[in-house]
Amino acid sequence: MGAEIWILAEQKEGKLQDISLKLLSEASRIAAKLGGEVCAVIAGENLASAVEPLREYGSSRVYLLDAPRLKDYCPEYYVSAISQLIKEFKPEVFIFGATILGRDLAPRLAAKLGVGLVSNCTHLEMDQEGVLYQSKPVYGGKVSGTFICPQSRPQIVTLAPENLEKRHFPQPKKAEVITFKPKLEGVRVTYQVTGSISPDPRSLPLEQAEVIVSGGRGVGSKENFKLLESLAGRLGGTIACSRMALDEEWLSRDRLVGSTGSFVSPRAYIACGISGASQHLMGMRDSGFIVAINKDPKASIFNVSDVAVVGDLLEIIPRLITALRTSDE
Amino acid sequence: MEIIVCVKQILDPYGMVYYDHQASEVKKEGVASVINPSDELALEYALKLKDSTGGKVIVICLGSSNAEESLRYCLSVGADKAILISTQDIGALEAYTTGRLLAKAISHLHYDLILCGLQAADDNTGLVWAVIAEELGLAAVGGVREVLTAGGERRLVVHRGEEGGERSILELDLPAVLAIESGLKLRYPALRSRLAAQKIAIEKLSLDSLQVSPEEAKSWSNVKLARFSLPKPKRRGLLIPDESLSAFERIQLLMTGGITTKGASKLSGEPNEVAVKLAEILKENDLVKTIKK
Repeated sequence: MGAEIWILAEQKEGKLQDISLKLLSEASRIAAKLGGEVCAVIAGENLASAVEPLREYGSSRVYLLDAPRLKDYCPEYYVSAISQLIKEFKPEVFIFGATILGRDLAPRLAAKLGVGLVSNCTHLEMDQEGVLYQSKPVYGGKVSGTFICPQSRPQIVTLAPENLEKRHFPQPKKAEVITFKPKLEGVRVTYQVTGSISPDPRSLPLEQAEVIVSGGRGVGSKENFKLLESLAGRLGGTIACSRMALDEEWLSRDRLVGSTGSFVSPRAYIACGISGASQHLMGMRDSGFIVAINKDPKASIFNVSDVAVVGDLLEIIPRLITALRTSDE
Repeated sequence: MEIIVCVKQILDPYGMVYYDHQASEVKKEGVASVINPSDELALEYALKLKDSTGGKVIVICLGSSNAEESLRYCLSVGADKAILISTQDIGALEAYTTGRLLAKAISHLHYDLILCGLQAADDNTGLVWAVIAEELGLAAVGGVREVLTAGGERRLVVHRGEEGGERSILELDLPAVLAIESGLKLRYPALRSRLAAQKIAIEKLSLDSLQVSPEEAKSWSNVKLARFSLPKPKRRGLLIPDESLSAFERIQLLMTGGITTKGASKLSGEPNEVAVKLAEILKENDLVKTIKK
């Protein structure tokens, strides 16, 4: 077995998560250049059905950490099991998604093993000596920093999911399955999960919202904000506004996004009828995924959008809500 | 409760930091230094706990002497003591080394709880909390969105953020490390506490006083900077350079692969078609909640 490039595959209730396949695509891309072996590590219970999709996306080896204690994520059990696996099989590189799980597990592993960690990377390249060049936005995204771990192994990295795609590379004919039984007796679990809550997104302060649907002058009236509320509800988000809408008194001050209001960085920001004045952009440009809807194709908001929708929000949003509803049935 | 809050002073993430491609260096003149935002949230939790259960809040920072200003501010909002571990001898440190040094300093203090931001907004590594927990052998929760007392000072209830905005409710015994992701904004200083803060001496520790030589500290570092460069474009979308730049600058940006504005997938046309396509894009990006029946 040559140099091994591992990815952490995630499962939820026994179902393989998409991030796993995206990570495999990325690992395969690097391995193709250097001839490393791509291996998937997956922890949980009853994982046999995960093997085939993992092979399909490039794993020539799958490490199954199969134990009842690993059924749900428990940091102490996962760190112990995976460190034992690392100690035995010594991978060169270990790639995690920068997901809720990844940003909890990767740091704990790096701390335990005393190795380097570079998080939220957007670009990876490998050189001839097997050193991974890990690039990521720093200084608020205005500069790109490229980092290396010359000595410590494995080189642990977490990858920003938004930058990843599932792509097929030549598939290994067969994935070797290694079922590893970690020794977990005596591992101290330090907290108990006693429940879970889904907070009403509408009651969260803007800084904590995952999804924001925001309106500007183009919304036209206080009444029309109800449309944005419906859309926000459908996306599990909350509404906000620009300075223009606040001055018209269509929403209250606590809903203002911008340099004189809140600075937000939700997973998704849907800007409706907002032109994109710099004071507003300052407040939301760090959002993960930005969709802008505006009649004016030259609106500045389009400079920071991932999706630019040129059109009338009053026509599009109701139809969007319908389209989203139809997909459920 | 004795609470330690680790704070990092960083360059303002909204400041005009940029990479000068000609000079091959990062320009940061005139950019203000601020306390890392999620560390401020951590401090607010600490002060709230102190309000309800009494006790002390100690802030600790690894940095150069210009971090004193940030520590002075922490005192002015209600922290009781501030400690600065000076890095004059070794310069900027990566996350793992920072964690080890903080852990060393903290190991000499009495504490029930250690709070810090989940990650620093300048490098977004999010490792320090885990290193502190590992070095001190403590329980840790990452991605905390709420901290509540739970009948008795030695037990806390915390909310941890999960996918899709859900939260898990966790119970744990102290001592522990909590890495804060969200919370209430840090309170403003009252005039009285601002004045009182002026009189509190900031304790300064050197590497020497922690019995760590600069060489040893440097040997802990695993991650090295290879280079800085212009921000890299996201994979998706077209490259559309900012029209306000000159033609020369635009070509330069395209040639070096750096871009300061995002490109966008454009949708326009018949509203029904646009709506359907947009719905697909939202679904592809995992933004649509499934309706629970």
